[in-house]
Amino acid sequence: MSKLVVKNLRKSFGHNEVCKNISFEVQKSELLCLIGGSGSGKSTLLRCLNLLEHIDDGEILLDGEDVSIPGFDPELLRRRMGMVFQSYNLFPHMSVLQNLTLAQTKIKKLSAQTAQDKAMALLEQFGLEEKAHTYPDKLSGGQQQRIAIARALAMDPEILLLDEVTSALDPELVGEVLQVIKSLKKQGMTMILATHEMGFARSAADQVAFLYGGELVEIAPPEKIFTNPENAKTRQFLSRVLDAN
Amino acid sequence: MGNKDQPPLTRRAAYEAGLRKRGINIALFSSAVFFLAVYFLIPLAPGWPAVKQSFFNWDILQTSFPKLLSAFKLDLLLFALCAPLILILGLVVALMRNITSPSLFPLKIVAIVFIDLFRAVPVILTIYIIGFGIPGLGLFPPYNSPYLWGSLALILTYAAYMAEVYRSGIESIHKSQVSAAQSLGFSKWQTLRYIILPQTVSRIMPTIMNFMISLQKDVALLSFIGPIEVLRQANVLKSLYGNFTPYIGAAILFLCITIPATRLADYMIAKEQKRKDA
Ligand SMILES: Nc1ncnc2c1ncn2[C@@H]1O[C@H](COP(=O)(O)OP(=O)(O)OP(=O)(O)O)[C@@H](O)[C@H]1O
Ligand SMILES: [Mg+2]
Repeated sequence: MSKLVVKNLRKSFGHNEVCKNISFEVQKSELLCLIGGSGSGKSTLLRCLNLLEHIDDGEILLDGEDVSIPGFDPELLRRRMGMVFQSYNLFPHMSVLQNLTLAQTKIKKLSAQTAQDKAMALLEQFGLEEKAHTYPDKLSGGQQQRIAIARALAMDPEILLLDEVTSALDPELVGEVLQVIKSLKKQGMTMILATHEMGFARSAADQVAFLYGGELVEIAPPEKIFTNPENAKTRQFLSRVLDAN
Repeated sequence: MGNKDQPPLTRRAAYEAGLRKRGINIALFSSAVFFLAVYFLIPLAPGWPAVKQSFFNWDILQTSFPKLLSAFKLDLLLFALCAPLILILGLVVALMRNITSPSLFPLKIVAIVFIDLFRAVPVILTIYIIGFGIPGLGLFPPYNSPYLWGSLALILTYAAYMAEVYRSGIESIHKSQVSAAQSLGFSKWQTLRYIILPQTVSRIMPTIMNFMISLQKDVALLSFIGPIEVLRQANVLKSLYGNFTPYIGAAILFLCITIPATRLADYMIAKEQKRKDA
């Protein structure tokens, strides 16, 4: 059974239809990369999956369970589905350790000690254990994003949504964050990543989905999308961004 | 200072240290000239002996001060009662004002009307209307006390202002913080409690301090409807002695509280600014 199934998802802001009848599936331990120009709807799609936006129509099935039916408690879904944003993820009034433990203690009701052990183990895994008592504004952008990912992982999500987690970073910091995503993939984490990093999508993704004007134009393994796309719009987009690089 | 291990000053650092020293000297000298001039010139004014007699009478200040001080305790007490209620009510109104759920819409309207109303009417009018109006309904002691209803007028007015301070503070928090919290599974209430409000409060702390300083002074307005607090006491003493010095005594009492509080507020503003720049 697919880990995540999206069927005919629709979302409009007023008259602006931002997700037009989107359907796709993600298998367990797969990395799906969402690519597409600015305003194509990548962020909105991810926010809909996390039920941060109210969807107009369609179904979202997590392990076969419909989490999009009206009345489904979004907080229950979000415990199973982590999400990391482009920026302003970390809570600036808390230390790194508190950032990682707050949701564990308040939502999963774990003891402070258990939560802290878990947090420290994750920070160690990411090579950030000496930052545990630092405040976010004293960290580099790359460190902040890695900690935001660690914080999402502390909740033991079954699937992780990553919305352009490297877009706000200086070029030399992008690599360290992408490295984390690669290592998570090795550990078998299911992920959906919206990204402008075509090189990464090509080398690391299992599937790549191209969005254009709110439509999912094409979804295929990266070799196919990058070498032999079926749709003319995909071809156009890729030749534009790949030429620019 | 005097540290033997300190490296010798570079030429630039020595030059800048010299400049700083010169600046301090100039400031000291010009202040001394200014205050000496004030000290010697004001007494030359033709009306000075009369003013000195009726405003700066040392004997009257000494005899009236204990009475003023004990009346000032009432000001402090009223302040201590009003301040926490203002902070709580202001927050409640701000949250009501931010309601989006349609079923709770009436609460939002109440909040909007409340804020508009109490910010629009001068505080002294509100004190008169509530302070005289409500006891006039024929309530029995202690519910006809001007302390009670006068304080309520102050609380309502200040809470209306505080509500707007909270609201703009809440709005200044980046929207991604809400998304980040919700995506971790926090409920709306938990997001507010653990993520939004702590950041808001530290941002608006300087403004809160300034409101509190202003409240501390406005407590004296209650004298107009009855309570024998320091301003009213000063009035009584003024009539008794036929001399304005008790007003100066009352002013000194306010200065003793508000000046340290103002410095503290300035310090907090500077600290918050530094944090932002870091
Ligand atoms: N909260 C909102 N209210 C109204 N319109 C919105 C909202 N969020 C997004 N939109 C619109 O939806 C469209 C898609 O935006 P979205 O942010 O999902 O694109 P994106 O693919 O993530 O772009 P980018 O690469 O710039 O992040 C845009 O036209 C945007 O203006
Ligand atoms: Mg986006």
